[in-house]
Amino acid sequence: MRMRADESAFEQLLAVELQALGRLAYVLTGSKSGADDLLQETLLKLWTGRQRLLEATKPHAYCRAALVNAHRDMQRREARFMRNPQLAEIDDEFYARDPSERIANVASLWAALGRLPQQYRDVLVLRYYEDLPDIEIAKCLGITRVGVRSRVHRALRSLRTYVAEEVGG
Amino acid sequence: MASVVDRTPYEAGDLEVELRSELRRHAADYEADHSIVSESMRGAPQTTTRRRSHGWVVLVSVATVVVCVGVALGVAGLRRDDGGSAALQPAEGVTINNSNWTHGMVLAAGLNGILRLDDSGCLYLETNVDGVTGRRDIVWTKDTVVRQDADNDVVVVDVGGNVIGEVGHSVSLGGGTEGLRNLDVPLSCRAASGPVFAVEGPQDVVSTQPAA
Repeated sequence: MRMRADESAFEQLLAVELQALGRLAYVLTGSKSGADDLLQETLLKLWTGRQRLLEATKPHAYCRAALVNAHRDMQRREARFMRNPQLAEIDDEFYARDPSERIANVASLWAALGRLPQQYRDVLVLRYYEDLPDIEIAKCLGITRVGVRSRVHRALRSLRTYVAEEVGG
Repeated sequence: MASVVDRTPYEAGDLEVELRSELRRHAADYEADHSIVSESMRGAPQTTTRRRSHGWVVLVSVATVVVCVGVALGVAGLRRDDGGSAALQPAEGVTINNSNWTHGMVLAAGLNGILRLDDSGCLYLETNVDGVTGRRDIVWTKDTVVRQDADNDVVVVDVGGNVIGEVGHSVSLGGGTEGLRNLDVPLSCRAASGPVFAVEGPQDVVSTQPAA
């Protein structure tokens, strides 16, 4: 009985939040397939810890933090993977088959954004897509407000450099 | 589209304005598939929904039940002599791939085929699509092992000690086609490049008879 109630409440909540979470996942990852993976991983975690979600006073903020955390975890796994040259070689063969899954290498701000390290991209997305104040970004990322401002500054500086490179070819 | 090609270098503040606009424009391209919610609920490991403050009560209760059941099963296992999983021996020379995932993390597609061993002792799945047979390398969940039964047949055993497949028999595997990016483990058994099939969900024996 409790399970049924949880399922119903979870579905109702996600009916409201899913689209926003999916779009946030998309701008964080930069690709449709990446967004799908990130969204599914986030939903698994949210469902597993659903009691805390269902009791949260700000469910959207809770879901958003879960998504950003899941993104960081996925990036760490990917970084570990890329350190294994044997796996990296095989993986490139696989992913090279479907170039549509890659971020197009075009001279655009979007392409430059895709080159940023994950922590820079996260902080820019939270500030300029989610329009969060520094204090909320700090809570979401688990860093200080000063850390947020510093990270945004460095992220914008890097982005500006990458844009110049994209344009300059 | 607000390309930066004709707008660089950015003046102070322009980049932030452009960034906000670009993120919104791209985000609008994404449409979430709502079926992912029910899939996630089915695929996630089941957990208790009790509050944390009562967690120790649940933990002690579960531990007590587990110990009691374990003792009971142990006694029953000692009494029986039916050639069950306790009679299984390590399968010398046979290799499988294991991920670091546990059973039931994700549910996705299914894949049917016949378990085969190649000349190197690698276990793989022989698939048949429109009459064309092929090889698919499998990555099993982390606690899956291979054993030899009393008849010296190589069997696949899950974390619960259940035989979930046997070489030469048809099996149905739950999971999905996966690039190696997400697996994060080296594969000891791999013949072909390209994606592998990662077992994540149910593993069912389709037939207990040797396949043709």
